[in-house]
Amino acid sequence: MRIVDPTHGLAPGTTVEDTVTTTATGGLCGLSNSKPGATVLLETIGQRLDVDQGLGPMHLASKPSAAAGADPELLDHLAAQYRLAVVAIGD
Amino acid sequence: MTDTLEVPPDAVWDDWVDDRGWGDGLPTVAPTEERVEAMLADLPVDADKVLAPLPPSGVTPTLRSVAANAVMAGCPSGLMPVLLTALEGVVTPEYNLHGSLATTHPCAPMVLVSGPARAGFHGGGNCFGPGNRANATLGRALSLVLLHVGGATPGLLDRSTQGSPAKYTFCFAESDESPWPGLGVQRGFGPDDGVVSVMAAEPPHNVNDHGSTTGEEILTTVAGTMAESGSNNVYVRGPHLLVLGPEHAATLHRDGWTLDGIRDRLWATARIPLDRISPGNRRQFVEWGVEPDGDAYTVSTGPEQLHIVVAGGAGKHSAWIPSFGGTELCSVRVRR
Repeated sequence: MRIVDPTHGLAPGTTVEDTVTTTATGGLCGLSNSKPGATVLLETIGQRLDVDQGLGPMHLASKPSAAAGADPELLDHLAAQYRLAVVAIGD
Repeated sequence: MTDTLEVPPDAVWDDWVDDRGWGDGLPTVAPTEERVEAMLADLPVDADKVLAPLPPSGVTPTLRSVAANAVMAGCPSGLMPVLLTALEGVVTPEYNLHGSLATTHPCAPMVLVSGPARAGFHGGGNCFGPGNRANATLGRALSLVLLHVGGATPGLLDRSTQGSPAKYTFCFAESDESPWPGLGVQRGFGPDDGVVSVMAAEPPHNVNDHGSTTGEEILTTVAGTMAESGSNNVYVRGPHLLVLGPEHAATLHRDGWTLDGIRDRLWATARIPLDRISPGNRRQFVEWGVEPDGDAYTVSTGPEQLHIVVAGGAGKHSAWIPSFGGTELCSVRVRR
């Protein structure tokens, strides 16, 4: 039996890896999906990165709404300020 | 690249589907080329114009893959225009398809059919339940497209904590017994336009009121049902839908209630007292920018967020349908 593939479609454009030379002077940023669980994760990871790796302190940021993706403007803003970011998805 | 697959002759269809990670757990109909071609009959000439990338995968379906999912769901022929309109609705940016598919919230893509497009669909008794093939399969077909092409696989990219039965299928029509204009007309479409409205929604919450004999009394019960402290409409805000049963609607209309009057009354009375929200949740609401209005929290941001339709059969029941919050009720005219 031959069937039409129900998953068939036009694949999205290929993602191009981009190497960016940053001029950001800030250190470590934690980006939360704005749920309480994500804040706990970021605070804990931030402390470990600070103590174990000397990368801290971690500055926390979050999306305006847990219900929607992060705006590119927010990501660009953080990229301009920080050299390293940790993204947490908690609930 | 071919869009067909050969099913091994010794394969048991539903096992083969399951092994590929397809399907919603219910049996499906094999989308053979003949069945798919039959499903594609009589489409509007520009039908493929509505097809857009579906998150989270970003893959754009084809008319044939949409039709294949309609076949798998068990759709009768003739439903493709409504299915494509529903797809056009959920890819509207305001619908927030990505967020609604990936969330831990149990929302499902609710499909409400209005106007002439209701032909074959059911808005009478048990309209949210079983008994009508178009209702049952159209909602399922939409969910299968989002699963198979959009990649909203439960446990992977569909992160719903508990899900809901509405994720299998959630489609109904407006009643033809409404004393007020239908939703399409309310939203600016013509009375001859078939309209499909979609919203990322929870399943219906029943409003049982057998004792009230006036519209005012009925609205007291509706307000009590809407004042739910665990609803996303309290803190994410967004749209919500009141589906009045025809008997409740008739009583309200008899007593002179207009749709705007109902909205204003429920905005004023569907309030959640502070002591029904825990201190921890109140602190969280503040972080999300939600403050009480005096001594109570409101349901969403204003009366205009409440949409009202009539559906159902005999009996003293209505339903309130809260939403994901981060969504909109998106209405699209069916192309002819």
